[in-house]
Amino acid sequence: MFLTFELTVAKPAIVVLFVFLSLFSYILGPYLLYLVEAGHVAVLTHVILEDEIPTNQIRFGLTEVRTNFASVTGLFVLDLAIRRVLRQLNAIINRIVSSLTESLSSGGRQQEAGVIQGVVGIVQLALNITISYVDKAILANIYRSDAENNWKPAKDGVLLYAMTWKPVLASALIISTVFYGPLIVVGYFSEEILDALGGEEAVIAQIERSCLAFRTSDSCLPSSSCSAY
Amino acid sequence: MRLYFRNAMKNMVKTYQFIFLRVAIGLALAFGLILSLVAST
Repeated sequence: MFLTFELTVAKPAIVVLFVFLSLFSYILGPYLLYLVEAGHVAVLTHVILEDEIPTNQIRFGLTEVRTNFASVTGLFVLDLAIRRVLRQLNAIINRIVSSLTESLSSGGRQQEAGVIQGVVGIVQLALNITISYVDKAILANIYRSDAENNWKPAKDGVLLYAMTWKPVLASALIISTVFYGPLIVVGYFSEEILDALGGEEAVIAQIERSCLAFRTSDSCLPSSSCSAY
Repeated sequence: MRLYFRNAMKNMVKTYQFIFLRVAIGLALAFGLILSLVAST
């Protein structure tokens, strides 16, 4: 009796729960966030073109998104696809760079390895920023035009984005340098920083101590990442 | 080029209401993630 209940009720319920959770975390959640982002793009476009700030920006963005709802949904799918492609690209770049830096580090050239990691990080982040804003450029051009059919402004948006590659790439490089510049400095002076902190062994012992303080005794395995490091 | 970047930043700051909204959503998501991690261990 109980077994049949389990098989007929519990199993579909688990499946439904699983489908709902995966839908929410992969499609619905990002979609809601993208709607907010689209509203932000609408307000930004209005501010740039009219040089006037709407009093209730959230409501303004909401109405703009509502009038171009189909286009926003289509661009969300484009954004998802771009993100997937970028993830693959980043994985390939990371694999190549990590093999290079590992061989450099094992040859006793940690400074060069650190600098290469930082420079590649800058280029990678700039590339990601540049590519992932294509759909926002299309969206802004759709908001700008009053055309009935959104297909032509969308095509023009891609062209305009490609035509302004210089300032876009420069801005992306500025942003990624702010993020990765400190990493290059730390990578280049890693030996000096380690010496100033009392040598490699002292730093590793300190990391192990703080890891031990952080994790509880039940949930830690003897060969966790901390002791292996 | 620098002027372009500065103008972009200025226009971005003008949309402060949306920036607050997005930061609030991001903080809420991060807080929820940390809470769920703490609850699962």
